[in-house]
Amino acid sequence: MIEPVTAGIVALYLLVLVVVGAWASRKIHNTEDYIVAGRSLGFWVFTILMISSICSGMTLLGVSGLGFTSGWPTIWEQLFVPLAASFCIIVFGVKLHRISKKNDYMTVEDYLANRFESPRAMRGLAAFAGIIVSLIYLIGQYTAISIVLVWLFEVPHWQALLLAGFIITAYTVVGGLYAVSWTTVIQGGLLIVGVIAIAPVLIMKAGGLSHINEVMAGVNPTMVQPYLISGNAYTPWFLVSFGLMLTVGLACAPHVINNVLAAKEERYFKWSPLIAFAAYAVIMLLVKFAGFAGRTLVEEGQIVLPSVPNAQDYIFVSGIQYAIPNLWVWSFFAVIVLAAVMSTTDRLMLTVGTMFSWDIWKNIFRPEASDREILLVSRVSVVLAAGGTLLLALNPPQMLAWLMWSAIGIMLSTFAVPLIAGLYWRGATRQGAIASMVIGLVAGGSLGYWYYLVEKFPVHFSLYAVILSAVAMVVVSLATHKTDHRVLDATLTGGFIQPR
Amino acid sequence: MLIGLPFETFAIVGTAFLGATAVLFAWAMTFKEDRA
Repeated sequence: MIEPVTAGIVALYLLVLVVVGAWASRKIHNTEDYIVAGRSLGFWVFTILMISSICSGMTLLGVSGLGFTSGWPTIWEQLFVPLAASFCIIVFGVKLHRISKKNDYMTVEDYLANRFESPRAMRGLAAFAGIIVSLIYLIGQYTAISIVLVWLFEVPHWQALLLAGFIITAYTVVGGLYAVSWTTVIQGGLLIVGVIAIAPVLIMKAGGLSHINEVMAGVNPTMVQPYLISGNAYTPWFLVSFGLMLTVGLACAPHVINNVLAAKEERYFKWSPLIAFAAYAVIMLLVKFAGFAGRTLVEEGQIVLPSVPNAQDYIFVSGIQYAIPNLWVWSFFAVIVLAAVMSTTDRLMLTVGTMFSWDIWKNIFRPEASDREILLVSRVSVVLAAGGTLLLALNPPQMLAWLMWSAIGIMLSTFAVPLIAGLYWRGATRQGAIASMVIGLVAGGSLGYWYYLVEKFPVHFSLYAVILSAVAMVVVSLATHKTDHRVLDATLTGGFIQPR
Repeated sequence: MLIGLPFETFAIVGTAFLGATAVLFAWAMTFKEDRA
C-alpha cells in the first residue's frame, strides 16, 4: 500500500492545482481571457509554458529508459526536443505574435484562414487535423499518467485514469489558459528543481560519469558512440530525419505554437529561445544520464528491474529508490513525475477545446455565437475531449511509443509546410496550402502506420511525408492564382524573420 | 578519453550542444523589437 506521507504530498499537490484553477477562473471574463490568457503572459510564465507544453508524459520515464537501452547514440533527442521551443519562438513566434496582436487572432487557424484567404476550408481543415493529432497525443499522455499513478498508488488502471482526468479537467475547464499556464509554472518549477536535485545523486551513486561510460563501453562499444553505422535507427541519416521531426514537428504542434499568441510582449522573444533551450536541455541531459547511471547499477547487480515488458521505463524510478531511500524524497519525486505528465495534458485538452469552439463552432457554424456561448462550448469540448481519450486510454495500445512518435511525425507533415510557406513565401496560395495539408495528413498517417507496424525505412517516415507535403505546396501554388498582395503585406509574408 | 567517452563522441556531441547555444545567443544579440 502507498505510504501516508506519499499520499499526503501527492494530495497536497493536486489540491494546489485545483486552487490555482479556481483562482484563475476569476480572471476569465471573455473568450480572449480563456483562450490566450488575455495575451498577458509574462516572460517566465511564457518561457516555462513553452518548455512544459513540450515536456511530455514520457520525458522522465521514456528518456531515461532509452538511455538505459541504447546509450549515447540516443543523446540527440536531448538536443532536438529542447530546440523545438526555440525554433517555435524564432521561426513562428516573432511574426505570428505581431500579426495576431494586430488582427486579434485567437488561434493559429485564424492566421491560416486570413493568410490563405480561406475562412472556412483552410480553417476547418487545420482545426480538424489539429484536433485529430492532439487527441492521438492525448491518449498517449493519459496512458502515461495512468502508468505513473498505478505505480504510485497501486490502484487499478481505471481508478488512476479517473482521478487524473477529473483533476486536470477541473482546473482546465474553470481556468482556461490562465490556469494551464500558472499550474504549468508550478509543474515546470517542480520538474526543474527536482531533476537538478535528484539526478546528480543517482549519477554520483553509480560512480560518476567516467565510470558509467566505461561500464557502458564494456557492455557494448556502440553505447558510447555518437551514432550507429548500421541498422534502421540512430544512423546519421536517421538522425537528420529524427531531428527534423522533433524540432520542427513539435514546434508546429497546435498545443505548442498557440502559446506564442499569449505572450504579453514581443521583447520576450529575444532571450526566451536561449533560456528555454538551456533549461530544458539541462533537465533532459540529466534525465538521460540518470538512465545511463541506472544501466551501470543494473550491470553491477546493485538494482534489479521489474520483469515487465517495458522494464527500461522503470530505470529512473528504481535508480532513485536505490540511490536515495528516503520516503520524503521519494514522495517528492512522485510529484515531479506527475507534474511532467500533467503539464502537457492540460495544454492539449485546452487546445482541442479551443480549436473546436473557436475555429469550428464560432467561425464556421455559428458566426453569431456570443462570447458566453463560445466559452460554454469550449468548456464542454474540454470535458468531452477528456472523457473520450480517457475511455480510449482505458485499453492502452500495446505500443504507446508508436502513438506518440506517430503523432509528432504527423504534426510535422501536416502543419510545417503550410506554416513555413505561409509566413515566408509570397508565392504560397490557398490551393497549395490545402493540398499540402491534406497530403501531409494522409501521407503522415499511412506512412506512420507502415513504418511502425509493417516495415522500417532507413529514415523516419515523417521525412517522406513532409517532402510530399512540400512538393504539393510548390506544384499547386505555382499552378494556381496568386494571393492578393494586400493580404500578403498585412500578414507580413516574406523571406525574413524580423519584419522590416 | 574524456569522462570515459571516446574523443569522437565527446567532440561531436559537445560541438552540437555548444553550437546550438551559440546560435541562440547570436539570435538574442541581433533581435530587434518592433517599436512601431
